[in-house]
Amino acid sequence: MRNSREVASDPLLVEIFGGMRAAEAARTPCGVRALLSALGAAACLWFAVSAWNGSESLPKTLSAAVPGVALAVFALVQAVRYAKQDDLAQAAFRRFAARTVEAALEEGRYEPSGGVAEEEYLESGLYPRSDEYRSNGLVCGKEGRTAFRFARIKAENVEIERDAKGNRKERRTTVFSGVWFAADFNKHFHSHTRVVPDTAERVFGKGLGRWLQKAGSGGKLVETESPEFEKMFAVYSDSQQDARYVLSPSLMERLEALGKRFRGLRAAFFGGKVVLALPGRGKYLEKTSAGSAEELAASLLESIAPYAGLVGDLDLNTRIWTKE
Amino acid sequence: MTTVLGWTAGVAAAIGLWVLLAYNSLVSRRNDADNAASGVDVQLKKRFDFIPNLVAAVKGCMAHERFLLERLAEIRSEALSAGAGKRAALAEEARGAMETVFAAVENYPELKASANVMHLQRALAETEEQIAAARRFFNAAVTSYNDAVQSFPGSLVARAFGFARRDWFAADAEERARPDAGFGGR
Repeated sequence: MRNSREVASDPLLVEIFGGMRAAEAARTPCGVRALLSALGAAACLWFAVSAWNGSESLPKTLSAAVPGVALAVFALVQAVRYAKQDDLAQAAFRRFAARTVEAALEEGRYEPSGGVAEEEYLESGLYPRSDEYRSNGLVCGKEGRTAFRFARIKAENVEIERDAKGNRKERRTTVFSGVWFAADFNKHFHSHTRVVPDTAERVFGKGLGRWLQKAGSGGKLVETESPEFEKMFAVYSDSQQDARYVLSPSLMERLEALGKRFRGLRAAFFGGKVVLALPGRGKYLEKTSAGSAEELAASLLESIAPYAGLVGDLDLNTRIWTKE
Repeated sequence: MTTVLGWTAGVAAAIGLWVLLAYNSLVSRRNDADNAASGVDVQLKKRFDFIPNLVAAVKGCMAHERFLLERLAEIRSEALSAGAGKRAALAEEARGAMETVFAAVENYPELKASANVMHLQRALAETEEQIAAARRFFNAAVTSYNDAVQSFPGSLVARAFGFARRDWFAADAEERARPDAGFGGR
């Protein structure tokens, strides 16, 4: 990934930054917006009261309500104007972020409304189906020979409860919230292998923990020869041999290191690719009040660097096998 | 009297059930180990299958290594008719000889640049990694089987039905010293 100084040397990026700041400056200040909103509300109230009091004569009612209607229309027009101003500033920021990603990553692309298909999320077998699934902030790129992409995902279960008075209450449980990373894997394989946090062994110890893991569903438990890896993860696969081909000793060490950086890390290997579920609610391509294009680019790149660097962290670019 | 008989029958049935379950568990683990052993054998055969292609790709240029290439061809012929134990030993000899051939390729610029030789090198690296994976699976399966054979009280059933402890695959000293398997395995 190129650094922010190199990225900010792009004249187009500097131009977009200028346009973004101009769009922001053109926005009506918050104080004025609040004042106008209050005026709009007062006008609506005036209209309602006038209509109520003047109910005995229609012309009198209308003449009393005219100033209220006029103010209400004015407030509505202003609200539409603010929304347009916000849209322009937001669109300018999205252009800036997209250009930053394009300039920083090889074959880089940023799609704010793009995301990970729910089919891939479910096919990984890392999490069960949830009631609500949202994904956005798709970033695609390539490092050497390895194509990768990542995006934010939020998957939640929603329970509707009703209290004694019949009031509806919504309870949300997060299934997964974080960044989903997918990359082309550097070896040919045909199995489906999952690496998940080893909660059973941690809670119940090696004997009972393993027994519970074996009783669990979703592929056969693969017992690896690394005690450190076993403490951290449980591996399930539909092929014992293929799982060990995919999870070489060096990859297991790398996953261990990643597991220390991203608590709750899960990984799946299927369909020729590796996917990583990285739970967390950290900053992700968010706007800051940076004073220059370089500063803003630096803050954006800093927020995606942990994910863009995963190809190197997992050594996926080593292509000494038949998959080129 | 009836109560004593009933208790005796109950205990005997429980012991019988436990023996049945322990026996089935041992059989299942032994089958896993056999399956893993055949997986290793399949991968070793793949290594032998590289020999004709490798010899054909390099023999035109490698005048000094003619003896080595002839020996490789002999190893393959011997392996085709050998038993599993002898085949494993021949596989190790083939591996050493192939590593020497690939090391010698460095001295022949036309071979070093050959797409065919490069592809063979990659394919062999992949097979070596598959062999390593198959052996790791074999060792895991044998560990699980040996644990069942040697742990009390399962060891009583194992001894009664002739389940013997099995040996793991052990990498030789030279192989351990070279974790990348000479072909770049990771």
